[in-house]
Amino acid sequence: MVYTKVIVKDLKLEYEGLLVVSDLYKLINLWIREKSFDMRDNLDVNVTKPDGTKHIELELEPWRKWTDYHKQRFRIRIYIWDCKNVTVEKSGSKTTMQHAKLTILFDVFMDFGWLGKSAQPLPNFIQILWDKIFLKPWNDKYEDITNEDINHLYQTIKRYLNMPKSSDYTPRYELKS
Amino acid sequence: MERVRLVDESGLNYSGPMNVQDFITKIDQLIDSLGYNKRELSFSEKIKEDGKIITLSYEPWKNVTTYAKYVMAIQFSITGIKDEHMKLDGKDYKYQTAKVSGRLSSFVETTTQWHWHTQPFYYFILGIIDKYIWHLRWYSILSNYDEQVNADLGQIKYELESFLNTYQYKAGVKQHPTVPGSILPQKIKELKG
Repeated sequence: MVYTKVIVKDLKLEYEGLLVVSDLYKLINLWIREKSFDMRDNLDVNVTKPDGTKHIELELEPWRKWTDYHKQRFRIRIYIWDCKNVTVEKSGSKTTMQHAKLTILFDVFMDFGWLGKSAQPLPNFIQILWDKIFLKPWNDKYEDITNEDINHLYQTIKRYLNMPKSSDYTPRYELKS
Repeated sequence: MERVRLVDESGLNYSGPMNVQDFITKIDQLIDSLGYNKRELSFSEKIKEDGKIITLSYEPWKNVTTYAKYVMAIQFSITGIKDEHMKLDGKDYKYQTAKVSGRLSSFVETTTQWHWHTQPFYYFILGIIDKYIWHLRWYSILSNYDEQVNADLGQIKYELESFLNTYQYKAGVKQHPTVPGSILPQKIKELKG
């Protein structure tokens, strides 16, 4: 049976303050590459307004194929607005950061039978039975891994932005600038 | 799927000293200890001139039977967060002063997914029978299980209120009530100098 299951829908992370936009983008990219995802950029909008502030919209769609039946897919929408450059003095040296309003939305999907369905009804029926009865442990396993992945990415970005973190998070990734 | 609201936005308000990270960790621990799966819906942090604003929204859930699920909606808004320092016994302690306002609700979700009576006609007939003719206990779980989720929500609210109130004593805003023979008020006076 060919179907898509929504694991996480519109998980939101909002932040307003100082950040380095390029480092945030590098962090997400590096995380995606380390986890062996393939990536597709669906949307990349960068608009400079007359008052000098920037408006950035990004939509990333990393995906990973576990088997010839299971595929996990993320959709990460990043909205940055009122972004302006700010000079910050940090331990005696001056660095350029950005002050912006940031919203990140996460959607996570699990595609089952991503290769497509057969034109014949009998193989489709056998595939449905196979999915419901025999593949359930593997479906649950890949869903759990997907949940862990999205939780890890969410907590990594929260940690980068110095937000209060959840108690059971142990950082496994650090961005080296 | 039917969602029945049992507790409608029970409020939790606090204003005074606290530690934001410890508060969020405490919420996570409470949700975990009661056997719920934490589902984080949103987290927002804004840095303004008069302090930080953090808003968080969780929806922890727990499967009770194959037909029913407990869900709690926990939303907190922590405003005016400012860092403070306090010296006790020569050590520097960091905490924050903030205003916390929370809303806690509880629901019971009944689901008939992947069951034979997901068909509209059967679902309608069973609903009519359950509501007006005969209370089908295996179908309608409200009378059996609604107390448990309310008790869990009440426990979370009580523990969070107690947790926040302890900071008032730690920061010296409130004093412990005087008990005859108690040396604690004297100790607090000595520490304050």
